[in-house]
Amino acid sequence: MYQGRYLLNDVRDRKDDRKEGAQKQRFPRSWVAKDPDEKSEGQKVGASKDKEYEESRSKENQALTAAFTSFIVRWVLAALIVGCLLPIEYLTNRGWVWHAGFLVIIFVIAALYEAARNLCKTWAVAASKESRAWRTKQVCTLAVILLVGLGYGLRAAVGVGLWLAGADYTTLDRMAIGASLFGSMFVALTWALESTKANREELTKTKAHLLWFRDAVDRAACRANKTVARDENALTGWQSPLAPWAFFAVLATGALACFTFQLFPGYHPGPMALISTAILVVAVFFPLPITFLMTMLGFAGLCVFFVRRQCLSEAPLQP
Amino acid sequence: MSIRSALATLIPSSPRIVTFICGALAALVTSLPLFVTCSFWVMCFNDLPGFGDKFRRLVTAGPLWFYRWFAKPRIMMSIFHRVRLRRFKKPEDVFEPGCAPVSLLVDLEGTLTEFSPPLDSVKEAIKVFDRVASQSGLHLSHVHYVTNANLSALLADCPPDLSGRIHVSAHKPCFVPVKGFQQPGTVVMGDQYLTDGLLAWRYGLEFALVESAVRRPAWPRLQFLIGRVLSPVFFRKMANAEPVHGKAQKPAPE
Repeated sequence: MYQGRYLLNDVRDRKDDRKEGAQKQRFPRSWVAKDPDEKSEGQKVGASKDKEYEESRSKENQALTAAFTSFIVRWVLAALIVGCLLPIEYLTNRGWVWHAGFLVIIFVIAALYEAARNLCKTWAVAASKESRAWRTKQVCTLAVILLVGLGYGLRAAVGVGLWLAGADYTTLDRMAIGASLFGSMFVALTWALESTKANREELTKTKAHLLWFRDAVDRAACRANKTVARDENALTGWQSPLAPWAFFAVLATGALACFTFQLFPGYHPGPMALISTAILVVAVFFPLPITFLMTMLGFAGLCVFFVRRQCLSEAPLQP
Repeated sequence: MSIRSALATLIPSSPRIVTFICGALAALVTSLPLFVTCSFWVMCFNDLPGFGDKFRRLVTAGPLWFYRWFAKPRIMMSIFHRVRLRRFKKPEDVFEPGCAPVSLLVDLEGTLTEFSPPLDSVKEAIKVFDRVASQSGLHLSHVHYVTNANLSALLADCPPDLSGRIHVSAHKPCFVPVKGFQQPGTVVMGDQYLTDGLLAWRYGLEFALVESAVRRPAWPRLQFLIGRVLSPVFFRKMANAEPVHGKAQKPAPE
């Protein structure tokens, strides 16, 4: 279903994908050679060009039909899986309501996300027209990243819930929170790199939610003495705790540590585990080679902790 | 099912490995944000488009490379070509009229002997099987014994007629048979689809599945069950009366 939801996003962004600076070769744009909307009604561009535009328009229609057909097929398959494939207890104990609810939540989150993105764009364009600073930039962008992360949390919680049928709600809650923050961090890092592909004016018109990332990337690149360009890895230097990817990395590490300890009932995180987690949390602010070394150190520390605890304990991992 | 119990089912004999994998997985979950961050910091935007494709290629490269290496001996065969499978109650049944293999690769543990057999019982089983093979008209140089078990003690005091015919710690199905045993007409005989059967599949040979008379331990039992589920992909069942080469052999002159 999530692939279907991404497909809707691609269809919605198809016009932005064609714009100069924000170009992206993804479906359905990758199918259509020319932008059919480039030519206005009644405009004369020559017979051969007219034919090209007609072909592009027909190809775009085909692509949209294919996209919506695929989307409907996914819905039917999802309904069949919830109704027919899941264990019979789900049907008798109203477990199916949960699963149908999960399917609906995908689109609730998607609708909220698209609304937040739209708001970002509208406010950014308005601020740019009035030649003033966009005051709610951080709040709007933060809302977009948080909403994007919720999808990851939802998928992780459903996956863990189906796999560990007896998992308690605390485990699922922590998993959902950890995965949501991890998803937000992942998307924040992707958008940080994406924000280097165009200048601010182009970003304002197409992807206003990337403007805050562009500010943070500019600052990080300045600290690392690098220029901001699409072929430059600008994030290798010291990182500010206020950079969106950095604080989401800190929160995600903390939340996933809580989730992992939840999987080992009766294990009290000793000094070794706490120090290793602290190393991982702090590592994100350092330049790249130090971050990597600290990550390896934290990972090794946690490995030793969990292995030793399992050897000492008689009933080890019981999620 | 928890991670630990799933791993413990897969690797029943090594609880230490299970403990280590569980510990490493738990540590990896906590460290994942930092590993991902480090991987993004070495990238620029131009590395990003197609990131999913690159990741997919990386993930599929390993299995693809393994498959290419594994299926290399099947040079002239299609990936969909299935080898013949016959089921026998006893190992000696492989010599029954209509089968007549040209050469034989015989498994020891679970086929001729019980699991973790004493050395004497292995020698005795080989002796008996050699006698049956000779009586059936098969030259003993065409009967090799291939086992994944570490029976190196067997090689130490091996009788002269057995030297070069026993392959211990053979790592089936990756074992490479000697040249003469890679030809059609060779039958691989064993009790496991995933070791003996896949060895036969790699070289396009016939597979003779022997029903193990002894009760299998948990791991071989699991292997057998998985193999049985996958067997239609690799093997096509044959009636036992059908000859090895697919065409009727001339009756021996009286």
